Amino acid sequence: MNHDERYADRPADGSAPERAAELLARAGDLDEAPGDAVWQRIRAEIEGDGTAGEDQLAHRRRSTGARARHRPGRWSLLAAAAAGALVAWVGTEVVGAGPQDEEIVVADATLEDLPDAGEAVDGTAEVVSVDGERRLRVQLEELPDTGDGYLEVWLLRPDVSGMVTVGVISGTTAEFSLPASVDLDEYPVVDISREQLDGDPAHGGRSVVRGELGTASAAVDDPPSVATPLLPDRPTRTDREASP
Amino acid sequence: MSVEDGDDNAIAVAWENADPDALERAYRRWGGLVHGLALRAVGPDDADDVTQAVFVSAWRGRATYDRGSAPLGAWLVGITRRRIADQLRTRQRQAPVAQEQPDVADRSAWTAADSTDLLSIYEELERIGDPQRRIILLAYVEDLTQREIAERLDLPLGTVKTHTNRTLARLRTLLGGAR
Repeated sequence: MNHDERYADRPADGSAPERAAELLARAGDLDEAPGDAVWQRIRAEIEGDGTAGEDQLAHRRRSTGARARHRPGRWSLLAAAAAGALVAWVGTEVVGAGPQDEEIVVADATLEDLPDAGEAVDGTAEVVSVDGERRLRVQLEELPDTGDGYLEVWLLRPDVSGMVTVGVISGTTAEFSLPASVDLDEYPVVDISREQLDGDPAHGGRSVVRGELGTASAAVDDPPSVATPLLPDRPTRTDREASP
Repeated sequence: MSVEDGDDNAIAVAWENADPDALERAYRRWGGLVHGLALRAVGPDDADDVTQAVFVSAWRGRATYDRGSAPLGAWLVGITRRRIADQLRTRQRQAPVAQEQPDVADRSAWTAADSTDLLSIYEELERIGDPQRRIILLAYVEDLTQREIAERLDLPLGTVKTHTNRTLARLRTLLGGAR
């Protein structure tokens, strides 16, 4: 729009009111909240995102061992898809790691299925230190349905404002090496998502299970103990090779 | 800093932290403004849809919000501007020439240029914050005198005058006016 058009309706006698003041006066009080239905629709649409996000995580953290504040269905959303994703392929699946050296479990997590994921799959994750190298081990109780896609393991910030891809999990267990540069204090949340073979490297926004890494008791209580395996039948190598 | 400013900032912090209540708090605080701007721009039929789209997309995109670069209110008005533009584009596609006439008559006072400028003004006011924002709104929306504003906000008259002039000058520059 050009200047003349914008000011065409203004008197040309120099007594023109400020355009801003005039518009403000003409618009009047804008504060006209829409009806309650709009708020209900916003909530419904956000719940319809189909994947849960940090709110449920926070909820779970809060409710651990305490009175849970149940607000079923509310705020079940995931920002991952919209988040300013930090995406870098940091993990490499550890293949044929050979005989296990001394391991220290430095952190572990219980992975819980997300209510909206349409799957009831739980699992565990742990970070072990082997010869100074950290590895993330993931074990799922069963393999979630991947549809046409695949499952990807991520580390997220608790508020889902950033994420790091760790690698692909094709069976119920997998092990990835974590570069020293990944700060687990910053990215403590282990997340497994369903991804489509669409060439998009970002998180597909369909999380299946999630859990937050906490300092493993073994690392705190009995340093520098050789970790007792937290997982039964934990594989010594990834089952990626072994699984069909 | 007024109490209101402090509240706005608290909501922005909650928003950045993705607190479960942040969306509702932001909606209570700015829902009326967003809806009011949408009403002027797209009329009553679509204003609810725009308001819904603004808060849904803002929440989904909240990781892109940076409190350091804009107050939350200004950021939301910026999103409102984009959702309004989306709505108008959709309308253009769906309603060819014939529909134009009554539509324009309905909102004869509000040209596209007017509503664009109005959005700019409110975005800037949210950016500037209080007490400047309230002073301008009391002066031009509620039509109070500067003395009444000074009494209402418990500010010296000189301060009210200075704020009014400076803010108007800022808005004038923003709208590209030379005078």
